[in-house]
Amino acid sequence: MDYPDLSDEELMARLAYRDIEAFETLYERYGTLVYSTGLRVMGDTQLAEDIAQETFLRLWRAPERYVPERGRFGTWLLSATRNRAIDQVRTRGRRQNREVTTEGPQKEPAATKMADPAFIAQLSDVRRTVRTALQTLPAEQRQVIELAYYGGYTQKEIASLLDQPLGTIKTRIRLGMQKLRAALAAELKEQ
Amino acid sequence: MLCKEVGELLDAYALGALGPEETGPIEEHLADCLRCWEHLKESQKAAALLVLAVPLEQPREELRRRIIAQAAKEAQQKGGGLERA
Repeated sequence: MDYPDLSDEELMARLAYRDIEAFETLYERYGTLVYSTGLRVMGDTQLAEDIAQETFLRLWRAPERYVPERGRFGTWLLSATRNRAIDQVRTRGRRQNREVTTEGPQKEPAATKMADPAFIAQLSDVRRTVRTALQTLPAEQRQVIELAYYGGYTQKEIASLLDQPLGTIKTRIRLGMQKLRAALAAELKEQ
Repeated sequence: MLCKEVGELLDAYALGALGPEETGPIEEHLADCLRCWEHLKESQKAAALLVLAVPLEQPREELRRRIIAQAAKEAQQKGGGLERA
Protein backbone atom coordinates (compact mmCIF):
# COMPACT_ATOMS: atom_id res chain seq x y z
CA MET A 1 0.00 0.00 0.00
CA ASP A 2 1.24 3.45 -0.86
CA TYR A 3 0.55 5.44 2.28
CA PRO A 4 1.27 8.90 0.87
CA ASP A 5 -1.60 8.36 -1.57
CA LEU A 6 -4.12 7.83 1.21
CA SER A 7 -6.31 10.70 2.38
CA ASP A 8 -6.03 12.04 5.91
CA GLU A 9 -9.32 10.36 6.75
CA GLU A 10 -8.14 7.00 5.40
CA LEU A 11 -4.96 7.27 7.43
CA MET A 12 -6.97 8.16 10.52
CA ALA A 13 -9.17 5.10 9.99
CA ARG A 14 -6.02 2.96 9.98
CA LEU A 15 -4.87 4.49 13.25
CA ALA A 16 -7.74 2.67 14.93
CA TYR A 17 -5.87 -0.54 14.00
CA ARG A 18 -2.59 0.76 15.46
CA ASP A 19 -1.05 1.17 12.02
CA ILE A 20 2.27 2.84 12.80
CA GLU A 21 3.01 3.62 9.15
CA ALA A 22 -0.26 5.53 8.83
CA PHE A 23 0.78 7.46 11.93
CA GLU A 24 4.19 8.21 10.44
CA THR A 25 2.56 9.45 7.26
CA LEU A 26 0.35 11.83 9.23
CA TYR A 27 3.46 13.10 11.00
CA GLU A 28 5.12 13.63 7.62
CA ARG A 29 2.17 15.73 6.55
CA TYR A 30 1.51 17.71 9.68
CA GLY A 31 4.62 17.53 11.86
CA THR A 32 5.98 20.85 10.64
CA LEU A 33 2.62 22.62 10.89
CA VAL A 34 1.85 21.24 14.33
CA TYR A 35 5.31 22.18 15.62
CA SER A 36 5.10 25.64 14.00
CA THR A 37 1.71 26.24 15.59
CA GLY A 38 3.10 25.33 19.01
CA LEU A 39 6.09 27.58 18.42
CA ARG A 40 3.94 30.52 17.34
CA VAL A 41 1.90 30.33 20.53
CA MET A 42 4.57 29.24 23.03
CA GLY A 43 7.52 31.16 21.58
CA ASP A 44 9.91 28.45 22.76
CA THR A 45 11.29 25.52 20.77
CA GLN A 46 11.33 23.08 23.69
CA LEU A 47 7.75 23.86 24.66
CA ALA A 48 6.72 23.65 21.00
CA GLU A 49 8.25 20.18 20.81
CA ASP A 50 6.36 19.16 23.93
CA ILE A 51 3.10 20.38 22.44
CA ALA A 52 3.77 18.58 19.17
CA GLN A 53 4.60 15.34 20.96
CA GLU A 54 1.49 15.56 23.12
CA THR A 55 -0.69 16.36 20.11
CA PHE A 56 0.52 13.43 18.03
CA LEU A 57 0.48 10.93 20.86
CA ARG A 58 -3.07 11.91 21.77
CA LEU A 59 -3.97 11.29 18.14
CA TRP A 60 -2.33 7.88 18.31
CA ARG A 61 -4.00 6.95 21.58
CA ALA A 62 -7.50 8.12 20.69
CA PRO A 63 -7.99 8.63 16.94
CA GLU A 64 -11.76 8.47 17.46
CA ARG A 65 -11.60 12.03 18.80
CA TYR A 66 -11.56 13.16 15.18
CA VAL A 67 -15.05 13.16 13.68
CA PRO A 68 -14.83 13.68 9.89
CA GLU A 69 -18.32 15.16 9.69
CA ARG A 70 -17.18 18.14 11.76
CA GLY A 71 -14.60 19.36 9.29
CA ARG A 72 -11.26 18.78 7.66
CA PHE A 73 -8.69 16.79 9.54
CA GLY A 74 -5.87 19.30 9.10
CA THR A 75 -7.81 22.27 10.44
CA TRP A 76 -9.06 20.16 13.34
CA LEU A 77 -5.59 18.90 14.25
CA LEU A 78 -4.00 22.35 14.08
CA SER A 79 -6.84 23.98 16.02
CA ALA A 80 -6.45 21.31 18.70
CA THR A 81 -2.72 22.07 18.79
CA ARG A 82 -3.35 25.78 19.13
CA ASN A 83 -5.96 25.27 21.85
CA ARG A 84 -3.65 23.00 23.83
CA ALA A 85 -0.79 25.50 23.53
CA ILE A 86 -3.04 28.38 24.64
CA ASP A 87 -4.20 26.33 27.65
CA GLN A 88 -0.60 25.74 28.64
CA VAL A 89 0.35 29.38 28.18
CA ARG A 90 -2.53 30.40 30.43
CA THR A 91 -1.68 27.77 33.01
CA ARG A 92 2.00 28.61 33.06
CA GLY A 93 1.43 32.35 33.07
CA ARG A 94 4.32 32.76 30.69
CA ARG A 95 2.93 35.76 28.96
CA GLN A 96 5.56 38.18 30.15
CA ASN A 97 8.14 36.26 28.16
CA ARG A 98 6.28 36.29 24.89
CA GLU A 99 6.10 38.83 22.17
CA VAL A 100 3.10 41.11 22.23
CA THR A 101 3.69 42.97 19.00
CA THR A 102 2.40 41.76 15.69
CA GLU A 103 4.79 40.43 13.14
CA GLY A 104 5.59 42.02 9.85
CA PRO A 105 4.99 40.14 6.61
CA GLN A 106 5.67 36.51 7.22
CA LYS A 107 8.01 34.58 5.01
CA GLU A 108 8.59 30.90 4.54
CA PRO A 109 11.97 29.50 5.57
CA ALA A 110 14.12 29.50 2.44
CA ALA A 111 15.20 25.89 2.59
CA THR A 112 12.38 24.27 4.49
CA LYS A 113 12.64 20.53 4.06
CA MET A 114 9.10 19.29 3.65
CA ALA A 115 8.60 15.58 3.97
CA ASP A 116 5.65 15.51 1.59
CA PRO A 117 6.07 18.26 -0.99
CA ALA A 118 2.92 17.45 -2.97
CA PHE A 119 0.74 17.64 0.09
CA ILE A 120 2.35 20.83 1.36
CA ALA A 121 1.98 22.41 -2.08
CA GLN A 122 -1.73 21.67 -2.00
CA LEU A 123 -2.05 23.11 1.47
CA SER A 124 0.14 26.08 0.70
CA ASP A 125 -2.53 27.64 -1.51
CA VAL A 126 -4.91 27.76 1.42
CA ARG A 127 -2.15 29.00 3.70
CA ARG A 128 -1.28 31.78 1.26
CA THR A 129 -4.91 32.87 1.06
CA VAL A 130 -5.27 33.01 4.84
CA ARG A 131 -2.00 34.85 5.33
CA THR A 132 -2.83 37.36 2.63
CA ALA A 133 -6.25 37.93 4.17
CA LEU A 134 -4.63 38.55 7.55
CA GLN A 135 -1.92 40.80 6.17
CA THR A 136 -4.33 42.98 4.25
CA LEU A 137 -6.26 43.86 7.41
CA PRO A 138 -5.55 47.28 8.90
CA ALA A 139 -2.60 46.81 11.28
CA GLU A 140 -4.58 47.58 14.43
CA GLN A 141 -7.25 45.01 13.55
CA ARG A 142 -4.68 42.37 12.69
CA GLN A 143 -2.86 43.07 15.93
CA VAL A 144 -5.85 42.43 18.19
CA ILE A 145 -6.87 39.29 16.29
CA GLU A 146 -3.33 37.90 16.54
CA LEU A 147 -3.07 38.73 20.22
CA ALA A 148 -6.34 36.93 20.87
CA TYR A 149 -5.84 33.91 18.63
CA TYR A 150 -2.12 33.22 18.92
CA GLY A 151 -1.54 34.91 22.26
CA GLY A 152 -4.57 33.71 24.19
CA TYR A 153 -5.37 37.18 25.48
CA THR A 154 -8.91 38.23 26.27
CA GLN A 155 -10.20 41.47 24.81
CA LYS A 156 -10.01 43.06 28.26
CA GLU A 157 -6.37 42.04 28.58
CA ILE A 158 -5.67 43.39 25.11
CA ALA A 159 -7.28 46.71 26.02
CA SER A 160 -5.04 46.94 29.04
CA LEU A 161 -1.95 45.79 27.14
CA LEU A 162 -2.43 48.33 24.37
CA ASP A 163 -3.80 51.02 26.70
CA GLN A 164 -6.93 51.40 24.60
CA PRO A 165 -10.61 51.55 25.60
CA LEU A 166 -12.29 48.13 25.68
CA GLY A 167 -14.90 49.37 23.20
CA THR A 168 -12.15 50.13 20.69
CA ILE A 169 -10.73 46.62 21.01
CA LYS A 170 -14.16 45.06 20.62
CA THR A 171 -14.75 47.08 17.46
CA ARG A 172 -11.36 46.13 16.01
CA ILE A 173 -12.02 42.45 16.61
CA ARG A 174 -15.47 42.63 15.05
CA LEU A 175 -14.42 44.63 11.99
CA GLY A 176 -11.29 42.56 11.49
CA MET A 177 -13.18 39.29 11.65
CA GLN A 178 -15.87 40.60 9.30
CA LYS A 179 -13.18 41.38 6.73
CA LEU A 180 -11.51 38.02 7.26
CA ARG A 181 -14.78 36.18 6.70
CA ALA A 182 -15.32 38.11 3.47
CA ALA A 183 -11.77 37.48 2.25
CA LEU A 184 -11.95 33.80 3.14
CA ALA A 185 -15.49 33.16 1.91
CA ALA A 186 -14.38 30.64 -0.71
CA GLU A 187 -12.24 28.73 1.78
CA LEU A 188 -14.97 28.75 4.39
CA LYS A 189 -17.33 26.98 2.01
CA GLU A 190 -14.78 24.16 1.74
CA GLN A 191 -14.42 23.72 5.48
CA MET B 1 -28.83 38.45 26.56
CA LEU B 2 -30.37 39.64 23.34
CA CYS B 3 -29.32 38.28 19.95
CA LYS B 4 -27.84 41.66 19.07
CA GLU B 5 -25.65 41.70 22.18
CA VAL B 6 -24.55 38.12 21.64
CA GLY B 7 -23.94 38.73 17.94
CA GLU B 8 -21.49 41.49 18.75
CA LEU B 9 -19.43 39.13 20.87
CA LEU B 10 -19.43 35.99 18.74
CA ASP B 11 -16.19 36.82 16.93
CA ALA B 12 -14.41 37.46 20.21
CA TYR B 13 -15.91 34.23 21.56
CA ALA B 14 -14.66 32.29 18.53
CA LEU B 15 -11.17 33.74 19.00
CA GLY B 16 -11.21 32.75 22.67
CA ALA B 17 -10.98 36.42 23.65
CA LEU B 18 -13.72 36.45 26.29
CA GLY B 19 -13.29 35.87 29.98
CA PRO B 20 -15.37 33.27 31.84
CA GLU B 21 -17.75 35.94 33.14
CA GLU B 22 -18.69 36.76 29.54
CA THR B 23 -18.81 33.27 28.07
CA GLY B 24 -21.39 31.94 30.54
CA PRO B 25 -24.30 34.18 29.48
CA ILE B 26 -23.39 33.73 25.80
CA GLU B 27 -23.43 29.96 26.10
CA GLU B 28 -26.79 30.09 27.84
CA HIS B 29 -28.15 32.11 24.94
CA LEU B 30 -26.56 29.82 22.33
CA ALA B 31 -28.18 26.79 23.89
CA ASP B 32 -31.59 28.19 22.92
CA CYS B 33 -30.89 30.22 19.79
CA LEU B 34 -30.22 28.39 16.56
CA ARG B 35 -29.67 31.62 14.62
CA CYS B 36 -26.85 32.79 16.87
CA TRP B 37 -25.45 29.26 16.89
CA GLU B 38 -25.23 29.32 13.11
CA HIS B 39 -23.47 32.69 13.24
CA LEU B 40 -21.04 31.31 15.79
CA LYS B 41 -20.19 28.40 13.53
CA GLU B 42 -19.22 30.87 10.78
CA SER B 43 -17.03 32.81 13.20
CA GLN B 44 -15.43 29.61 14.46
CA LYS B 45 -14.67 28.40 10.95
CA ALA B 46 -12.95 31.69 10.11
CA ALA B 47 -11.02 31.68 13.39
CA ALA B 48 -9.92 28.08 12.81
CA LEU B 49 -8.39 29.01 9.46
CA LEU B 50 -6.09 31.47 11.22
CA VAL B 51 -4.02 28.57 12.46
CA LEU B 52 -2.87 28.04 8.86
CA ALA B 53 -1.19 31.45 8.83
CA VAL B 54 1.62 30.56 11.21
CA PRO B 55 5.15 30.90 9.82
CA LEU B 56 6.63 27.46 9.16
CA GLU B 57 9.57 26.25 11.19
CA GLN B 58 11.09 22.84 10.64
CA PRO B 59 11.21 20.73 13.84
CA ARG B 60 14.29 18.71 14.72
CA GLU B 61 14.47 15.18 13.30
CA GLU B 62 14.87 14.03 16.90
CA LEU B 63 11.27 15.06 17.61
CA ARG B 64 9.98 12.79 14.89
CA ARG B 65 12.07 9.86 16.13
CA ARG B 66 10.88 10.38 19.70
CA ILE B 67 7.19 10.55 18.77
CA ILE B 68 7.24 7.52 16.46
CA ALA B 69 9.28 5.46 18.94
CA GLN B 70 6.86 6.26 21.77
CA ALA B 71 3.84 5.41 19.61
CA ALA B 72 5.39 2.09 18.56
CA LYS B 73 6.22 1.28 22.17
CA GLU B 74 2.66 1.98 23.32
CA ALA B 75 1.25 -0.16 20.51
CA GLN B 76 3.44 -3.07 21.54
CA GLN B 77 2.41 -2.71 25.17
CA LYS B 78 -1.22 -2.83 24.13
CA GLY B 79 -0.73 -6.08 22.31
CA GLY B 80 0.39 -4.85 18.94
CA GLY B 81 -1.66 -4.42 15.85
CA LEU B 82 -0.64 -3.45 12.36
CA GLU B 83 3.03 -2.68 12.63
CA ARG B 84 5.19 -1.60 9.74
CA ALA B 85 5.38 -4.39 7.18
